[in-house]
Amino acid sequence: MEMEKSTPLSRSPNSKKEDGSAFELASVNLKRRKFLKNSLLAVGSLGSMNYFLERDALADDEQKAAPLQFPESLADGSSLERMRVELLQALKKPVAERKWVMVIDQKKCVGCDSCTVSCNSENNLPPGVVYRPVPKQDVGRFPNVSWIFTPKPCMHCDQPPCVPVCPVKATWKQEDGTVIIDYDICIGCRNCVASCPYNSRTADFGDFFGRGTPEIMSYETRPNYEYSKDWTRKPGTGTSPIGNARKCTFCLHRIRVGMLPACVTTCLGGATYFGDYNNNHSLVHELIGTPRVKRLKEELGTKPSVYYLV
Amino acid sequence: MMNKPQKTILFIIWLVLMVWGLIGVFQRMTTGELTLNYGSYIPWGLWVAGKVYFVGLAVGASLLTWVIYAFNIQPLKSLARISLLVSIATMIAGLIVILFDLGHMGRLYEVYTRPNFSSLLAIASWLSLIYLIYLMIVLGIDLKSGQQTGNVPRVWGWIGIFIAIIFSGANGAEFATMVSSPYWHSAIGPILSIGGAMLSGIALVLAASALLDDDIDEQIIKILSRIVIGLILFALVLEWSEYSVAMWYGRGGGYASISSILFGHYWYVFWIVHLAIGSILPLFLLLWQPAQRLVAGFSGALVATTYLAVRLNHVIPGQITPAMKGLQEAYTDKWLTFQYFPSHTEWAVFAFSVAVCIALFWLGSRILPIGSLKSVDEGGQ
Repeated sequence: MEMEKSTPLSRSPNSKKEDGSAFELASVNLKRRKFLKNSLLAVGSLGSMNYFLERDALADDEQKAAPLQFPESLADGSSLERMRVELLQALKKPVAERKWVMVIDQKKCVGCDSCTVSCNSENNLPPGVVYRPVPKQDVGRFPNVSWIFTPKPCMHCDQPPCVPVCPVKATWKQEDGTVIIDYDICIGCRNCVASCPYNSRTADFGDFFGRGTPEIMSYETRPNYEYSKDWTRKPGTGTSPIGNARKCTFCLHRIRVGMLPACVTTCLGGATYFGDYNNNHSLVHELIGTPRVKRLKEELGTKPSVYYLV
Repeated sequence: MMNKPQKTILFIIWLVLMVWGLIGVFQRMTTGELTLNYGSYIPWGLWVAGKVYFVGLAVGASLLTWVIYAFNIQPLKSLARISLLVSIATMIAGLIVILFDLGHMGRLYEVYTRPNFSSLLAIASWLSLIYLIYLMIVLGIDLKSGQQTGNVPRVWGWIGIFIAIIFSGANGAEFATMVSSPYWHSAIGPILSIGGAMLSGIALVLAASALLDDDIDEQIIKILSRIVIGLILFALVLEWSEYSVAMWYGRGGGYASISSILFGHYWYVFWIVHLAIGSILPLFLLLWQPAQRLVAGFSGALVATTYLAVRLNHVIPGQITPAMKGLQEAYTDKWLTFQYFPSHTEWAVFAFSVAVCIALFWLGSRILPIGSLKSVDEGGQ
């Protein structure tokens, strides 16, 4: 299995040398003594890494918040942990040297929609707004039938059709590859929504799940923290993000504090990968280098930052 | 030409439109976008189609004036002021209807204070303001020139033609440049926009002058009728070109959209409203009685009003195809659907803009010396 070889659990010795991080040493079947030694190394590395990251983060305009401290027990050598470490490594670099990409393995996706749910929960999304639906397509004819699941976040295109159409420069592509919206500027013309060939932008019409019921529950009026800012939707106010176009941000507010996007951490099948494509040794870089890779609607020239392994 | 009962009926129709429209405006202002039927997958609905429609009427009507000025067409000079007035009224209606479409109406000024000129929407917004001001200036010049309408230096006509074509083309290109919709993404888009504007706008001038202007010469009606006949045929050729290319082999990106226009749930919008009532019937009437005021005016009104169907058939079907199979079922709620029919609020606000348009035209024709229109109101008294 080509794909299995590329996971951190079975990486080549060469790649261990290249990275030299304590996580990788802890990722294979270690003997007890070796395990203890490496665990200590891991803790030490994490600690020092966090120290430097924190220092760099403060100096970085783009990341005001410092990466969070995580319990060492997470250092279990899983692909999830490897991605988090690589995320921390990327955060140490200047913003312009990062290139966030996502890889979705369609063979691993089981269509459970947990990414959709976690995304909705993380971003406190109202009706009409969805950042990561999972279209399900049945293929074949009985008895040879199957499903294709295509989780569909914003593609964060390198040539995004949604950016030049904005009449007020409320949306743009950042140096790290993410396409974002300034809710305080967006006039709500939905030109970007109409121009996205992936239907990845939606609009916030000010609706609430509890509308028409005796009470709008408090979870709906809790703030979301997109773009590391407190956005509280209040019924009847029409204040942003109500009235705005909205889209997946790759969970920038989580990334800035060293956390992976919500859809990545909650993916039941471990099908979603995230990382810095400018790191030649990152997991996403490895995965994108396999023959299974494709992007949606490449013929349009949009150059999406979301890759699929088919 | 109009007697008192006719005027009363027209006034009642206008009053109904205005009251209904005000209800819609009230709903829009108090409930935000909650009572609207467009959504995240079909983000542009009746109001965007309405803007394209009104702007088309404005450009078409004024193009007639620009041509009259630029080529100094004496026989049609009496149409210059009425065309400008029609153009200003419809332009304002277009701006009103699109204002209500914005999620943040209070931020409209940002299009003018921090424009992104790579955006055709920004370009079209600027041009709409420039065009409106230009229309008002030229109408002022024409009015200042005395009782005889159409005495405006030719250069104003040439500049007008230039701005009108760019403006109308930009409105068409706003859709045509979008790769998201194969139906929209067509080189013929800007041409269709200009052709449609000429047809609908000049048809509206025909209706206004034939039905409301007592003193208009029958020869002018005849000329206008012939122009409208030619434009109907030209628009049908353009439409055939657009539709047949996609439908001939039944394949390709725009096939699904055009197929839905012709044979989908709202097939009657194309076949009955646009083709039968808006094209074939007026064509027949105009060929039969080109100089008969009532017939010509009624035909012009049919073409002009039903042209909304063409604009709707351009805006909506371009959004009905999901980006990928299964998306329509992946996550559903009221706002995440690929089906659309305007809500009551949307129709009502559209009616409001129509009522404002009529009121502006009526006021303009009463206050300003627009040909013989001023006598229309007085004639019945």
